[in-house]
Amino acid sequence: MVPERSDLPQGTLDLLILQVVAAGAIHGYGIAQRLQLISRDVVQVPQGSLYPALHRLENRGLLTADWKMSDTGRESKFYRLTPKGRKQLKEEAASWRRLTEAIGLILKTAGGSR
Amino acid sequence: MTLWHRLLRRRALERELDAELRDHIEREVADGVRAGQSEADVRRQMRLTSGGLDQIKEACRDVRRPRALADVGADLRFAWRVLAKDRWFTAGAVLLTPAVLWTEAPLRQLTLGWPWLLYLGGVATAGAYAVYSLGLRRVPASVAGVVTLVEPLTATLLGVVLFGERLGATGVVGAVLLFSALGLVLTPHAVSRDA
Repeated sequence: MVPERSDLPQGTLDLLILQVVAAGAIHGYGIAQRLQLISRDVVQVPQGSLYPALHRLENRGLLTADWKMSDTGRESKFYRLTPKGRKQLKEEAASWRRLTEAIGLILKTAGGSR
Repeated sequence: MTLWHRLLRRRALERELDAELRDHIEREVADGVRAGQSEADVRRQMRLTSGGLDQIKEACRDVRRPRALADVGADLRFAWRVLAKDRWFTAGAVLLTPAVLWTEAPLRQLTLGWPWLLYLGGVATAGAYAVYSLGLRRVPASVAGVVTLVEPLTATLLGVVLFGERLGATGVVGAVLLFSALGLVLTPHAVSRDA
């Protein structure tokens, strides 16, 4: 069965990337794979969205990267969190939790739901 | 970062961007083939979801562009700071400018001066640094460091050869010392121990 894909809400891709990178140095393809695996195929990030986001995060100083020899025998670019990125992840995760909780409350209590 | 460094950096960034995106594609293709898809199918699928390689690259460059603009701003601020810091120099230049009017044929003076200014900036400074950076790719930094010490010596030798200046005994000793140091650094033995 092919699971239904969902479009990511605006701005959440950055948060998801930071969360995955927080677990340790990882290359772009690895990040996409982890996101797909953990979300049970719901989150599938195409290359065309992933890399601009990675480079934006790197440019903002939230991620840093090194080229390292990898299992393919080629060098790959491995991303890591900077201290600034770690702080940003903490703040964004907290704010996301607050927001989803609030949305959940509204969906549950507002009248008219079937 | 100087303009030249930034140009080199930009070329490096382009190379890295290309290598990074290709690395991703190769990994996705390898995984797809392992899962039983044909290579052509995987590549077509990727093009459908992400567009071509050039499109992705352009999107990544867009992300960095505000930074490049900020760099130009930083350059202008730097130029202003240099002018403000050497305020006596700046004041001297400003005060001397009207003096050009009292010289014979001021416009001619200016037109005569500009080519030399451009030469000093473009060839003697930017060109020299460009060649120096190219050289740095081929030799270790330790060698480059010693070789730059020859600079005052070449200036002196040019003075001796072209303008008939005379080199004193200490000058000759200094020149010999410099050349011996260079010889030591540049012999293969010394370089291999270095590496």
